[in-house]
Amino acid sequence: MMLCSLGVSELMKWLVISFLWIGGHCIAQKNRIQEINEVTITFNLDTFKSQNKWEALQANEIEALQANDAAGLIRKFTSTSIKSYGGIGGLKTVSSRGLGANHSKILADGFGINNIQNGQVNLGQIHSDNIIFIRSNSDGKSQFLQPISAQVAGSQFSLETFENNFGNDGLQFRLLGKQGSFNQWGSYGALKFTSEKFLFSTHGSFRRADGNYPFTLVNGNQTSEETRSNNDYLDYHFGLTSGIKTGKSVFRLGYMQKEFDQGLPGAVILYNNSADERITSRDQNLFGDHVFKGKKVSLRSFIKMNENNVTYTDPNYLNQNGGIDVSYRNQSLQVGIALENKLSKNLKLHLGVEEVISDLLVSDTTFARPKRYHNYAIVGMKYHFAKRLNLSIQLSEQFVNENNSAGKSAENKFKVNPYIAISTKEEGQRFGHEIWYRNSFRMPTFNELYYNNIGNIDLKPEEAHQINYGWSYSPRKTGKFQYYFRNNIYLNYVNHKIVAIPSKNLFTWSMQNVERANILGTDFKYGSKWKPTKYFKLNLDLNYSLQSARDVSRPDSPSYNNQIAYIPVHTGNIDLSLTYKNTGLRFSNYTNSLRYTLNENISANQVEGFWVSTLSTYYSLNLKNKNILTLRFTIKNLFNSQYAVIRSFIMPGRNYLIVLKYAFN
Amino acid sequence: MRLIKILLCIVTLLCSCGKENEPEVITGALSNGALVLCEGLFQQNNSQISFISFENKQVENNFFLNRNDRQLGDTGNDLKRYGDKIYIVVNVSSTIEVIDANTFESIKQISMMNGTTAKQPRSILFYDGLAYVTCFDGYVDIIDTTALIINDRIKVGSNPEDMAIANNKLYVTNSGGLNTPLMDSTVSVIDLNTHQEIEKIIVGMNPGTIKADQDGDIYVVTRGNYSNIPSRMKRINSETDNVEETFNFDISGITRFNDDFLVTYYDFSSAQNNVALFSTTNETIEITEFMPLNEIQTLYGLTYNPSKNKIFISDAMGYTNTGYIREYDVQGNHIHSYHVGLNPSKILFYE
Repeated sequence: MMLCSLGVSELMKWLVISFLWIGGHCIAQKNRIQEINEVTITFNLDTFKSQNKWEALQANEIEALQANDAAGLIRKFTSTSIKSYGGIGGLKTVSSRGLGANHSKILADGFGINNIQNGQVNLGQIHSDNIIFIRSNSDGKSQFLQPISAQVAGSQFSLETFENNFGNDGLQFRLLGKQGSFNQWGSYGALKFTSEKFLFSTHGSFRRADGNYPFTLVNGNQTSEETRSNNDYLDYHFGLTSGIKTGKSVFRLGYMQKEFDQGLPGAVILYNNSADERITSRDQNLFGDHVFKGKKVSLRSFIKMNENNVTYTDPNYLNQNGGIDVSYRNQSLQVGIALENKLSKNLKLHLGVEEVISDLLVSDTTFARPKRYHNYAIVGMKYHFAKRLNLSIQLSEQFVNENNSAGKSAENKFKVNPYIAISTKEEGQRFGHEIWYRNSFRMPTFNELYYNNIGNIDLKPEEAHQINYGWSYSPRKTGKFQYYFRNNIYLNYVNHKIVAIPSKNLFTWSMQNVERANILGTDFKYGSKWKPTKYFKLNLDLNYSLQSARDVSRPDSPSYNNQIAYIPVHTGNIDLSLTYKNTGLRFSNYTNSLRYTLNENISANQVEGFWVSTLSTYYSLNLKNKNILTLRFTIKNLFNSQYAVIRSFIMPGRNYLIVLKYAFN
Repeated sequence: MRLIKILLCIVTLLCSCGKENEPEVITGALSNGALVLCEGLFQQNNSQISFISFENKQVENNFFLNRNDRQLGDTGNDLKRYGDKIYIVVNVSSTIEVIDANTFESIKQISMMNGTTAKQPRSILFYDGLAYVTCFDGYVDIIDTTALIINDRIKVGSNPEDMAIANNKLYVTNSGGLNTPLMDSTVSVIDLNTHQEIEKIIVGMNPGTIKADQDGDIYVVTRGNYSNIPSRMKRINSETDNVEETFNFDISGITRFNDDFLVTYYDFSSAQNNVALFSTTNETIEITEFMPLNEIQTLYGLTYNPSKNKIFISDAMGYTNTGYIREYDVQGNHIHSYHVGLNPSKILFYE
């Protein structure tokens, strides 16, 4: 059991926190109780109406996009840039508003996904078939149900899955099978039962692909047709969730396990196509929460235990052992409680605490043996005044204690971060305005602190200051044609940016807090729907983001005031969908302008911009008794564009996917 | 709809940015200039050759691409001339490019693969019609410079780096760099007649650069572990193959300067790299600060051109910005800086 190895002190801490958890509930029980319809409040909202407040994708849109993974969904949001190394299951990370990927927090069903070793979540390993709602939230607003660690992150993306969200729908069943290019196969099945009192669900899924896609290799003025090798992928997921609803409380308890086995194709290296690296991993999660909603007091407490085992092998590594075979075990325990108290009609107070304990064990004995205790606390209030104005003020505290039992530890960190927002956004208003400032940071990861000679235990956290003005417009009338428009302008400043630099010579790299960045950005989003008849519907969504992210580290550097590596200045999305009765057609486009591989903005460092489109069509057959059969056909990279997001990691050309889904209820 | 049109226009414009063309600074046979090997960065396939014309003080980057229609590959590591051929050792691409020294057109690309494993060649040295190539898989490959085929492989230590020749023997530094932190500490001695390893001399952790002087002494840099074991220079007597002397300064490179050496070392008191003059006759440092390095941000290589009597320093500009070749006279006066590619290291001169 993963908890055993966390040691006695952790156990004590855990008990204390668990006590708090249970204690919190006892207090809450005494309050007067109201009806609760849903565990989660987010996914059930009318997306179209709420789009002027936040960006989200609903189940029908998610299904229509037929993304390989969560990255294919998140790239639809404004001011994001996805770093993709290609392929199914391949590494994909998200950076939001010019901040590094480590500033983004990914949440699944209200629980944070952690990776303390490298601080980034591989979105390529998050399936999209079971996602019913996904939302981008970069404004730092306190989301009552969410872990404090996510509320204080620079940006966050939260997703909800079919199997972990409960309504009162009786028995529901989903079964899906898919087949695509490069011998890709996948399936997903879920059985869910929800009633006024009980909740139960189980699900399983798998994906596999040979991943040996052809590509055109451009080498100077010559081109050749090549095939990606060592790009096979296999994963299995399964999970079980149950819950009870009593009065105003809902309890959830679940277990999820994920297994991965994949080849790493590596960069396309000219004249050398050897690739034999592999990663196998197992990810186990036990999670539970309790949500209580009273008339005045609302409360959520949550716990998640995670163990992640990764084995990396490279049989061709030219060391004396005849290759690399190293395994990493990353454990984490997160426990927290969030409380909201309505003090008066216009004043709400919120509080929260969370403790995350993580450690890392590496089979390579030269690596450190670090453990981190990360404590979060938050206090804030929301005040509604002068009829239309909302004022939010929040202070968060973080205390980080590090303990490396195999050497020197990084020093303790203590930080307090403010957040302030004034908004006029209210339901039913045509115009909404909002201005906010927030200050956040991201901790150095275990790799950055302890990795052999490269790690540096003196690293400071990377700080981000963000200021944003946003406005939105949506006409009040709700006729056949509806639309909204939203725009944000932001200015971010990143200090103590953590980068790897060679310190004495090219052999001696080390992590340093040397860079600074200024980010000036703006994004526009337009959404519209037209429903001239009962059966016909046309949706058009457009967005465009500009991120001028400049390196302002050293005025005497050749890269001073140049665009930061791999952040595109321009990104955009076009989504057009037509629905007629049970048939639909969707065109979806994603665009990045050119990027640079290094901060020096010269032509030799350019990676060309790209424009990738997806065309998908579906037909749904409504059978008797709430049985629905849907067949989808998707052409990805419709115009067969040969492109790379990261230099030397060439992406697949045109490919196909057929999906058959059966849904009951 | 107007909004869509505007967006489409913006996006199309942004995606169709063209590439800048490098101006040609020399046509026909190469002369009065220098080829500079720019290593590039790992996995970026951006190793390249810059040609410096001393005549018009101009630089043509992407010189290999311009003359051969294809790229050099990933992480070039060595550049040397033997007869009318130039050999470029490309480490990560695992190739040796053999080039016509006059036209700079490719004669042959020798693939350095062992089945599916890349041998990762590091450096090249010539002797009696044969080219010796250290390969990171623990061998020295022997290439016939006429037939341009690999004749034989000699097993040495772990991750061999550099080579020097004295007394009809080949000295190979076994760095063991891929076994960090337990690196190799030996120099393999190979009989050039039999192509057999005679012995392994223990010299100190992580041996790298190795040079022979005119007296048959071998000087080797043991780079240590970059933390508590410092970098040192050791002298091997090629008659006895014993380590006879250790020089106590934090050395990073050795360059032949007429009969003596210019050595680059790290001065901890000033936290800066310096260049010193080392006399191979007196076996001592004669001048500790041979030249000022005010213009240099990242000293990455030093080459002396005896016919011009000039010193050329490769400045890697922090390793992530394109570098410079900075030309100095032997009094240490800066004459000119040439803007070249990423991580310039080796230089080959043309009269």
